[in-house]
Amino acid sequence: MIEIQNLEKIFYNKKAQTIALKDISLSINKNEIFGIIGRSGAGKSTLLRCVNFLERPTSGRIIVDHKEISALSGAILREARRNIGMIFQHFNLLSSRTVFNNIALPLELVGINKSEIFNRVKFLLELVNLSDKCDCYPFELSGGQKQRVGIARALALKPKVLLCDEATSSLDPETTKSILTLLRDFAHNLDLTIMLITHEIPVIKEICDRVAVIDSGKIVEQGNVVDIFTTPKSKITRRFVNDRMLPVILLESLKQQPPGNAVLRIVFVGPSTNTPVITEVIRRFNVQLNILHGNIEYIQDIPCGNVVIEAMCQSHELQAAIDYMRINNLSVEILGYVDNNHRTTV
Amino acid sequence: MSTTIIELLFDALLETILMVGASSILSALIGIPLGVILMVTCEKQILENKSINRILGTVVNATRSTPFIILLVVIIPFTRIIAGTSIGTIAAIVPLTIAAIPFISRLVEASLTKVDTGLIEAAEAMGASPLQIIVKVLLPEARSGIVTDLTTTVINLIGYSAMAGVVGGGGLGDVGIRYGYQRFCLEVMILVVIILIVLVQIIQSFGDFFAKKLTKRSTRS
Ligand SMILES: Nc1ncnc2c1ncn2[C@@H]1O[C@H](COP(=O)(O)OP(=O)(O)OP(=O)(O)O)[C@@H](O)[C@H]1O
Ligand SMILES: [Mg+2]
Repeated sequence: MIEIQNLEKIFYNKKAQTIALKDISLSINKNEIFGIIGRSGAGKSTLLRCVNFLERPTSGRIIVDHKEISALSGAILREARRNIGMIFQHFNLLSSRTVFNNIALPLELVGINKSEIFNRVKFLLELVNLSDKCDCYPFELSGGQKQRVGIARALALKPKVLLCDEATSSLDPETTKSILTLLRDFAHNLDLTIMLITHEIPVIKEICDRVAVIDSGKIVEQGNVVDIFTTPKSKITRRFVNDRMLPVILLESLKQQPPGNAVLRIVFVGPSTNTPVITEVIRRFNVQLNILHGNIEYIQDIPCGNVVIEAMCQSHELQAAIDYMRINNLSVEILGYVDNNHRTTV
Repeated sequence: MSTTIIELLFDALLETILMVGASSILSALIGIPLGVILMVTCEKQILENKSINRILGTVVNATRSTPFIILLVVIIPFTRIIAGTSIGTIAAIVPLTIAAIPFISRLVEASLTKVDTGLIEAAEAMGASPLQIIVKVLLPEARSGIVTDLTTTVINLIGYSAMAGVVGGGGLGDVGIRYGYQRFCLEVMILVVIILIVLVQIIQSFGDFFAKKLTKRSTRS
């Protein structure tokens, strides 16, 4: 549905030039919710804004719903934009218009007659559950309600694609959840493809099918959300995923080299959470395992376990145990080593 | 107080209202679109156009920096073409309008620039054309600011109109100077000043009232 090929964006200022995006290639399927995650300044917003040409790419091609946006301009580009809805972090509702008239705006722009606008807006208000706020002005609404209006407005022209730039970043966790649920329902029921930008991991875990990690204008990793979160490959992704999971005190006492006990991270996904591999390891090999940290979470209803253990054993036993776990579909990574006597303080 | 003085002041008040009213309306009709053009042709705006912006900007600045009393005299030939005469209340409307146009256009430009760029972006994302953005987003969102701008312009024009006596425009200011200053009728001058203060006060209150009415934001009261 969205095809981005070798996209590059350079901002030219008076003296300096900023390379905001470098050789970005992405392919987003129909009815998919695709997340883009990255640190502040990574180029997320720029990338999203290139998709509907709010930002003109320096080079590269963008194809949305079989139309090459990058080849269009003027009235034809505006026409194409109507097929791409957009919602914003700060909602961007017109303060001078009521909720009803905010949602009606895109319909007015294309010259739809009044009674049709009325019916469509009423329908959209029901869809986002705001019928009672119809005649309110934006200042009378909460953040979550404003974003609902934003979503209704973005969906007014029945777009095939919805772009979301930090759509939940100024909302509290509970409201975020309700907005995300709404988006997910729409993706399924309204035949919508969603491209979503965020710096919040939970948002990605909650609704995205696939995710791309972007850093300094480049895509460092992309793939299935479960894969990216359970077996991150690049350093940046790992920092995104891991930093939040390991206690600082543990990270600080880790050394790169032996001697000491190895500290392993073991990740289980899906069915392997139900098989007692760890017990089996202890039984088969001469190792003692000490759990330092662990959790199981659900990424789109798939259980993902993440355990950090300290292994006390000889090095050849350790290797055998690791091999055994890997054969049993666990992902094992040696994080480092801790001193024998350090154990008690962790 | 003699009835002649009251009559005199009443006529002068009508002249002032006529001059200020007409020039306000005319300058708004030209100045608001001019302000829109100045804003949208600015760098990074929806119809960025450096040359148009620079040319209009220079003309506006030149007119604004010319003292009104000089402008009044310099454009007498132009006034004669437009109004058919260069003397009288009607003739005074021409220089007042010319002076107010750049004033109002700069104020409107500033008010439009204050509209959140996110709203322009949202409209662009919806596929709005530049004209639609102006009509549906910029002007409605800036309407309260524009009312304040108009109020300021009207009050400013009342001040300018006091100088209209130079071209025989009459009005309150003219009466104040002729009677109060040249004939030492202190009484008349004080009355003129009081009437002007009341007039300005009324206009300001009306302006504030409408501006507030048009603002759809939570206001601290
Ligand atoms: N209009 C602009 N002119 C010049 N540089 C820009 C412009 N917009 C963005 N940049 C630069 O491009 C880079 C990427 O910016 P972008 O807004 O896409 O980051 P982001 O990932 O969305 O960050 P955040 O999470 O803070 O919103 C930054 O280095 C920024 O300074
Ligand atoms: Mg951003």
